Amino acid sequence: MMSWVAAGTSPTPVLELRGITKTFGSMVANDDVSLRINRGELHAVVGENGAGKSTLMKIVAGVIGADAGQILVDGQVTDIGSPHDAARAGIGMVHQHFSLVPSLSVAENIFLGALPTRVGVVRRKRMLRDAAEMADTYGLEIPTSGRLGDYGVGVQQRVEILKALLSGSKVLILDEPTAVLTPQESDHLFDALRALRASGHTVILITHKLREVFAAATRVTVMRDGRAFEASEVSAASESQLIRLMVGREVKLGRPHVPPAKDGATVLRIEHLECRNNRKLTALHDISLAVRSGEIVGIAGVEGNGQEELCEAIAGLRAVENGKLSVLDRDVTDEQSATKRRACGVTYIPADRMLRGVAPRASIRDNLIMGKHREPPIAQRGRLQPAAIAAMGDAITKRFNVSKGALGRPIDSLSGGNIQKIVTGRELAARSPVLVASNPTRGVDIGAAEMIHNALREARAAGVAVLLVSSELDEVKSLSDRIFVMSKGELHGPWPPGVSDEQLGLAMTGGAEPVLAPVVGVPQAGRS
Amino acid sequence: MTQELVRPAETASESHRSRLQSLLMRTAAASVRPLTAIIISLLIFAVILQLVGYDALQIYKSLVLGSVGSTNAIGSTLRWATPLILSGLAVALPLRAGLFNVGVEGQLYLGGFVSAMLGLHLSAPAFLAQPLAIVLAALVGALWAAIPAALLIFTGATEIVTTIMLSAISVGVVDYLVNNHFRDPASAAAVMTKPVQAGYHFPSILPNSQVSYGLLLAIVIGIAMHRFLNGTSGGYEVRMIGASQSFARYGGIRVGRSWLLVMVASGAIAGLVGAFETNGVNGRFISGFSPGYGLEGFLVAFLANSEPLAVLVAGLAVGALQAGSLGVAIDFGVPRTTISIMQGLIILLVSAQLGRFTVLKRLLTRRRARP
Amino acid sequence: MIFNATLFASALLVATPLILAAGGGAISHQAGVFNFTLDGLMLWGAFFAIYFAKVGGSWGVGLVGAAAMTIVASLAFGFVVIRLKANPIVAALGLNLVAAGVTSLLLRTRLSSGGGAVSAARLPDATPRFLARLPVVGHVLAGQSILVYLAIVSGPCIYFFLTRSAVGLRLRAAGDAPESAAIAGISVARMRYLALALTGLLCGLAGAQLSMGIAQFTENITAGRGITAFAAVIFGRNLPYPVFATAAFFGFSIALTDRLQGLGLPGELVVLIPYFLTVVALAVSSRRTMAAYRQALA
Repeated sequence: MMSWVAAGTSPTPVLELRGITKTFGSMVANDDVSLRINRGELHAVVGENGAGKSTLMKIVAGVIGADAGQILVDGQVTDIGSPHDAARAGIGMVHQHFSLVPSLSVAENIFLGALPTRVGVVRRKRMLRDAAEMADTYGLEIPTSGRLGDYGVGVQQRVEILKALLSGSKVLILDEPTAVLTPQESDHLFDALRALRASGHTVILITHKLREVFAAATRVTVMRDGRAFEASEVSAASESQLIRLMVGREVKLGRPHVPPAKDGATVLRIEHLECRNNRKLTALHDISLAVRSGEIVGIAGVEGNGQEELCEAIAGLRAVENGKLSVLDRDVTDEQSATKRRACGVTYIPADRMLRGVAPRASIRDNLIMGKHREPPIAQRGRLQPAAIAAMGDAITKRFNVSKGALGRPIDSLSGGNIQKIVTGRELAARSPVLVASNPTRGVDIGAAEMIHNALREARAAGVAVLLVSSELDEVKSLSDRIFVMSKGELHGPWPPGVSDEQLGLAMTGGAEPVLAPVVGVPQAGRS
Repeated sequence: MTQELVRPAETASESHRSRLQSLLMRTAAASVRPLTAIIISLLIFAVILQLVGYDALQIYKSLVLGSVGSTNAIGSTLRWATPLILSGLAVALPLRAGLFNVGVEGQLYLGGFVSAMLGLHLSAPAFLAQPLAIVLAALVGALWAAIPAALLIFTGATEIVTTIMLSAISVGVVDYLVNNHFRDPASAAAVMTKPVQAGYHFPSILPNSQVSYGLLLAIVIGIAMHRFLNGTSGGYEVRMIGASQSFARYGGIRVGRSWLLVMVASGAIAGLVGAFETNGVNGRFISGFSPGYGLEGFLVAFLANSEPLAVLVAGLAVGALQAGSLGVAIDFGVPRTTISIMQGLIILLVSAQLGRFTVLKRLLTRRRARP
Repeated sequence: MIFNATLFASALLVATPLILAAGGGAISHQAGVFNFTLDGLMLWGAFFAIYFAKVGGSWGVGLVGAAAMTIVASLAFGFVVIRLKANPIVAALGLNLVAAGVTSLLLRTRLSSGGGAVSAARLPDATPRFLARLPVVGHVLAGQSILVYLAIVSGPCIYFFLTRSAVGLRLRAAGDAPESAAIAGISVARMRYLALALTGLLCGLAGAQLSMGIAQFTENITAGRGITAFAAVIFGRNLPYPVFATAAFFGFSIALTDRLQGLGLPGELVVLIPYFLTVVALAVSSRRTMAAYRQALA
């Protein structure tokens, strides 16, 4: 391993990871990750969803254990087997999904792990006083009364931070902290982080928002597919480079692009669509888009910019606040349910396949017929036709090369790639006029991904209007006839498939000026 | 990525045989858990019996004799199997969709009351009377189960509690009515109505027993439920809702509609229990005629893992237990209620093993029905 | 004159087991364990109170015995639900069945009573003389047992326990947000066992009040009171004071029905009012309750 400590110029990092590996079943979440965090810095760890950042940080915080590798705190190898161990080592994590108790008060939540008591009775006044003191010290405003659950995410997050500080953390890990904050709250948060650094704390920030990286971080590490790329000084990196590292793929799946066979009619029309996300914040701003029969429209972009919400809105799984959706010139905006949208001709390959796309414990057969279970040939007058189901199963498993075996097995006995192939095959078999595919090859091996891509191309050739949403740039470029970029809920584009990555990367960052920067990863001796 | 070799084509008879084999093996595998639960319960129960001074072996022998030891015994077994199978089916169907109908007791009580009322106040020839009683009992039970279903769908009120509450209400109201308005003056001790008219009395199909054609109806319903769940689109939707609500919604299934359907059907079947017990076995409405069929329905359903065909078998088994316990009560003076100890133990143990799988998952992913 | 001291006296008497059992149920739900065992546990406690009173010769032994046996039963339920991960609803049905069966069996065999009832010590009057001498209040309190006083203070005690004691806060955390509690170092399982032990204690005492209060145990002595107590827990949304007040109110209305018999309000129907009210309460407020139950059932 390349040593950073050249001629004793760099002090011991406050936290160092060596060769951290973690596997969940067949999925490698962290692949031999090595990282150095220096004292007093704000170190950003960036990557798209599923890159392994959260897993890595959970290992550091003792929430889960690594399969291999070492963690060094202040140069000493430390065994972190539980959050308690992590706390003792001075590491505290502020989780993305808060680990708070809504029915308890603010102070009770902060001190939950260490309630001050006298004869078993909690010393309320003392607790409140200590909490207020801490809040003052770090500039984190918190209310003094009421249930925590009554307050918004801003308060909850500050409580989480105070919790971590209370247990004596020198290193604070924040996992996507601004995902739930308004811009003003985010500013407050970064002010607080700056104050923390000034008082000697080290902050690790997990994020996929590059704006934050450039606004607040001193060093940045990019993670992709479980691997980490060498950290670089933020001042020396450019946004487009980081994006390239985040979303690029090592192996190009591309084929030379074949233009659509015919100039088809517009099948899916989206006009001035507005939507909210789960936090009631606006996720889509005035989206307008048209997809024609026989074409693939690709939407690229880093995850979390509204793509998920767009797909759900089209598929009927999310309410439309404003705007209009039409399929085949028919206004379907008011048909706000999955049932109705399916009936209108929209099928959807969801990104979270295990939650929505399949019922994991149900049989492959049962998973296959979802959506088609009321119409011929799968059902005649309400009765399921085993022969037709078997035929469909055969056709799909053969076409997608899913290992042969009883269709009665539970579907979660298959690999992730095979499951996704079944989902894809199922939705394609519907031969609906509109197909929305969200990250169809995420977590899927290359061979399966290629098969799925071919299937999408075939659908296109058959006249289906395909809307492909993906954070894999190569995927979008090799499949799409027109490319858009989604950034902060707004659509940019379209571009032809030959567009350069830099152009797209530019759009993804909302138009910041790209800086031609030195190659990422060159160690800068003498800096810390 | 490996590719499995395609298997050489099988002959028709080979594939039939192997399908049957795999079916038998799967049934055997599925039976291991409930069987273990039953065996452990038997052991614990034997210990309890010994502790209070009974000879467990003698009691178990009497149990077996009382259930299958004679034609009378078999008749008794079948007589008890009828309401147990029906209750089991009533519980199993909503359970497949993730719902708990804990109100079977109240629904069957209403069914019994209604069929008795008909039997007392409406004169009709037998070929009309009996179907009428059956249909009305099922209707009343269905209605009573539709209330908690509607509350769940439109307000999100958990059916677990509302079915319990409504059950208590219906039992209370019916008991009150029978005690104060429809009581048979000839009977001082028991709270019951006068006997129903002859035409309403379900005849027994087995000589010297109280087994009515309710048993046949129960079997038919069981088979029909099996066909429904496994062979129809509607049944598929029910199963998928139970397997994963988010998947079902994504696929466009109308969850609320399915929930209403299964609860209504469940209530109807429960109503049938009341009708057959009241007009069939007892010949009149007797307050407290149900020894807890609502609870026992859960026992049967859990033993059968909510599979209708297995419910038929499980209902028969528990029916045998019930019949045998009567023999034990007569021989040893042990009250019949003590058999509920064993039943309770079985429920506890069977639910423990099932708890790890589908049932708990269903509970954890429950939401309102409106998409 | 309906609303006189005698009415309130009997209201206290009827409400006591309801308040105690409901308090136990609320604690269990606060810890995240859905608990439908109240009726079975009360029956269990009622039996063993008489049993131990007879065997031990005094009501004190009866109380201790009832409490101990019911705690054990509740912990057994906890084992099945927490460790074996059984479905709490079904496990509760099982426990209630077992309780009914065992008490019935033991009644016949150990207490050798063919008629179904057995007499033993009764709970003595615990009201000090100076209280009994007070004008109106004295009449209400005269003759009430120690359990009645326990029930009266149980409301504030449970409230204090759940909101001001460290153990209580941790118990609530285990029920409200188990993963968060675990991350904070709380043993969720231990908190739940503790909660169930308390439920057992309170339900055992509730049962003792039922049987030793009249110095008798009969087979159906709970007469559905456990379900009424459960209804109070639901209606009171698992919160100490609302549950306390609801249970007291239910007790009061049951006592009232005896008085109103003459006026044509049938007692058998009035006892059903709590169930109806619970259904209405659920229908009206279920968004929050549903979430609470999903948590409780987890």
